[in-house]
Amino acid sequence: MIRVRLFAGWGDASLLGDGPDWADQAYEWGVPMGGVLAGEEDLQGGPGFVVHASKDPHSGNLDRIQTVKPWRRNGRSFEKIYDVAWSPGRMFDDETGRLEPVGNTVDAQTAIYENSIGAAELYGTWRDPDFDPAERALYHARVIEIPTPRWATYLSAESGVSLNEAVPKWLQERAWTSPVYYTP
Amino acid sequence: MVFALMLRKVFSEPLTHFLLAGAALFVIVSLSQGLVESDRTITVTENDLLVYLQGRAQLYDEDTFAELVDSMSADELQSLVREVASQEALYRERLGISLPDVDPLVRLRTVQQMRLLLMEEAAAGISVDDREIERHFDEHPDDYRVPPRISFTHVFVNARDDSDHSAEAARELLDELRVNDVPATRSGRHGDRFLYQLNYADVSDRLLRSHFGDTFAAELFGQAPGARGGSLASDHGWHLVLVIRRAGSRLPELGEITERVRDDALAAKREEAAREALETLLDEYEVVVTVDASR
Repeated sequence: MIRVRLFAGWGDASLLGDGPDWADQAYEWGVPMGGVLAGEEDLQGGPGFVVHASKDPHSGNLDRIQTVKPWRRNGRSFEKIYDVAWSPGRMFDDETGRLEPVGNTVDAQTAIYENSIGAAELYGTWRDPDFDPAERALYHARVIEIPTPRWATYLSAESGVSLNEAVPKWLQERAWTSPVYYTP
Repeated sequence: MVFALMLRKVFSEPLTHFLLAGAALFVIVSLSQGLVESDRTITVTENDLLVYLQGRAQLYDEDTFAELVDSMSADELQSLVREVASQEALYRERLGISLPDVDPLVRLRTVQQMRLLLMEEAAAGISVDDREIERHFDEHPDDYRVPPRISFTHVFVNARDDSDHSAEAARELLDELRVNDVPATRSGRHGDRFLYQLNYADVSDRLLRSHFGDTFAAELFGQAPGARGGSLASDHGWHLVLVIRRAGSRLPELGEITERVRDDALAAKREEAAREALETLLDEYEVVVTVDASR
């Protein structure tokens, strides 16, 4: 099971400590996932977020944590995904807004992968650069694992029956949090 | 006597021969035409439609689907009839080719299905008595042994890239914790963030190995409760552990787990019956081996 916790509050979350008592500090600072972010007089800079995720002890390392933000504008729904934290040694391209892929260690013949890429734990803080105090929005964190064999790949390796070419050989498992809600 | 003479006369008539031959031909043609007709005729009844719809939906509620069929337009009904007829036609066509012979997946599935049928048949009506339950418990003590459990808290020092430096930092922090006699409840204010838990309550060796690695789990059970021991290495760094409680492995009394042992004994007996049924089945075949199986 992938573990993930998300907190949101006003101000810069990176000022919080990232030690063993980070969650204690986060509870004092903001609201946990599932909570409602109450408005403040000074909304400059938008809400801040702190998120922590740990790998499933019996599965692959973690690729990245993302914040998924759906919002409403003029009666229409929008959604944007932001990369918040990722495993070391990878570059984020500011021009394209894309993060370098984590790679893939899956051997489809044997259905074996290695935890030589990704990270066992990810911790990150983030601030919404597109925040509009007048728009309703919600934020939830999404954690993505490194690629691991898909169930059909395990069955194929076990049974010796070759996998259909049209069937994906690997996937990236994921976990997500309850959202934090913002209402003007 | 008179009747026998009349019969002989009738059977010697050429007209009788002609009629008998004609009747035989009629029977043969009628039978063969009947077979061809039934193979190439698909009769779709309302019941067929209901069976098809329920199977497709994996929901068995005949009344609801009967209402659905009644409310269908002519086009919808025609489309449904076509689907049912297509399915039946494809099913019949498979009779012409032996799918298990040409498709390994169908063969695998067929074998699985037959194995299940054989097992179900062999295991039907089997039960176990108290003596068998007791014997199963005596013969499989390791299946019921409760593994050792441990409760502890720890202060974590991240190894990061420099293990020498982190080992030194762990030693210094351990001295500090001992000098200040930091209680378990305040351990969370020291050291680095750990990816899993700060406190572990009544956990098994299996969980420890998944969170910390094999070496840490083995060493932790050697720590005495109540005192902050040395620093233990894990897959992630160094841990200054404080064991709160430790319980060794034990074998429970049969009375504590009778139902579980009964289920296991029953499953074992069924499995044995199924294995014997499979052996009996195999004995009905002559197995010719063309490879050297004496290796």
